[in-house]
Amino acid sequence: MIRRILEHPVREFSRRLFAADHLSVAELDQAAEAIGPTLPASISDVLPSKRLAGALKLGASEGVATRALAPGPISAPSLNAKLQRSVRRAGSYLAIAGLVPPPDRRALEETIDLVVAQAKANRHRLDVGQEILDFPRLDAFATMAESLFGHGSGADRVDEVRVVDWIPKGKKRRDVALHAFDRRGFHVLEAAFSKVGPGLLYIDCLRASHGRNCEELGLDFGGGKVPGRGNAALVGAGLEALLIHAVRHGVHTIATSPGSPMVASLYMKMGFTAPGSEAPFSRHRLEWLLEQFPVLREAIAGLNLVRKERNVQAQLEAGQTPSYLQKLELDNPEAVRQALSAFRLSRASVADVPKDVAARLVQAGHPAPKPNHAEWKKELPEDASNIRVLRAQACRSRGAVR
Amino acid sequence: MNSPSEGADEVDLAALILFSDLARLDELSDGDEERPKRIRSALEALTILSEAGGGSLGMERVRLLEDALLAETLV
Repeated sequence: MIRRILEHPVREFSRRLFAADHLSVAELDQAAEAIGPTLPASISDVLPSKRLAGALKLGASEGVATRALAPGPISAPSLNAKLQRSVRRAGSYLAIAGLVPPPDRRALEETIDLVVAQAKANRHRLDVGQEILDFPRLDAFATMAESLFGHGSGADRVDEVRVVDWIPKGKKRRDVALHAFDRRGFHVLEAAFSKVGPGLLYIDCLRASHGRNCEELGLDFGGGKVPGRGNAALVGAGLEALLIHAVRHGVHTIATSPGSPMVASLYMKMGFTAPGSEAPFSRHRLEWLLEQFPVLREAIAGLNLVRKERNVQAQLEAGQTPSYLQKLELDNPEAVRQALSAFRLSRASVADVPKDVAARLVQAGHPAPKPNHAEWKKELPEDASNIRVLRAQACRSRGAVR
Repeated sequence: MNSPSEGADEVDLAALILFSDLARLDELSDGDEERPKRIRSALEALTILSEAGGGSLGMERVRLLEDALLAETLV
């Protein structure tokens, strides 16, 4: 059965993509259609019945399966009532499986409504040529950055954030950059944003880590299995704050250009469109769950390559300049729901990142990381007019964070 | 099941199918005719996970899910 997946056409199409100079939009469409039903709808579809019968015949779960498959009611009223309450309290089966936090659905829906309404108003202002609202600037980003405090535990907590408004070398447009440091002084998050068009906020850079400096996590690092490569909780909290605050400052779309199919996939999990696509966001929840399984990771990456190539070819055939831009359209309720759910899931994930990052790096043959907070303090001094320095304790004492 | 690695893959796949069933169940309305089929499929996957000691889910969650899914069939 595993062979069936490994021999799936996605691999063949991935190979063709790498080998061919050009594939037409029709060929790429055909590829995407073939890859679509990668997954079985039911376990019965992939397990031969004999094997399934063998799996079912042993152990305590035999009774469970037999009862579930048996027709007619079973008398267990007290258990039934208790568990029904439990399911209602948790909110979903996925929550019980530990994959989703028990959702506060009312709060989520209210936030979605608010964000979508504000984004629609922002787009409408532009459509009718009204004056554009001020784009988020330094102090607005400093307010958003407060959301980075209060996550993680012990030395892993963010202790300080430095926000800087500057013009990077070789660029004409201004950037706002955020740098977060944990209690030990590791540079655990770096993000940079710029305005690339009316109402369009662009994420130039976003990387995060646990217990090491995030700039050391380049693709050439070769430490794919080393813990601390990412910090989903911190990124989730920051992006949620960005989304909620940005619409108050005239933004209707957040965009970025992915560096790899895997990064594209991550953004698509967060409600962003496929790279270069003008089609609105569509849900990719299943892919998101499947990414947890190594056997299918390659298929997902291959599928994203096909999507990217297809969009690029479509743009070329339409006489446009190819673009890998992925967009989170904040006036699309489905996209916003996906984004907010993803951010909240990241923060409540059961699979926590191991905290002994330094020890595991040494075990993996890498030198122990050293914090570089002191260098950044010199680089971004707190008395400069274009820099804001936020500290967890100060924010907590005025009730800005939990 | 010929080798330990094949066995591990099967557990992964069972979890995978379980998650897709649970995600679908969360989307389906109460009276939907697809629900019983999904519940059955999820319970089958849980059986395999249970025999593998819970897999990545852990036995506690496997038991909770079994009970919760069963409870729905008892209504």
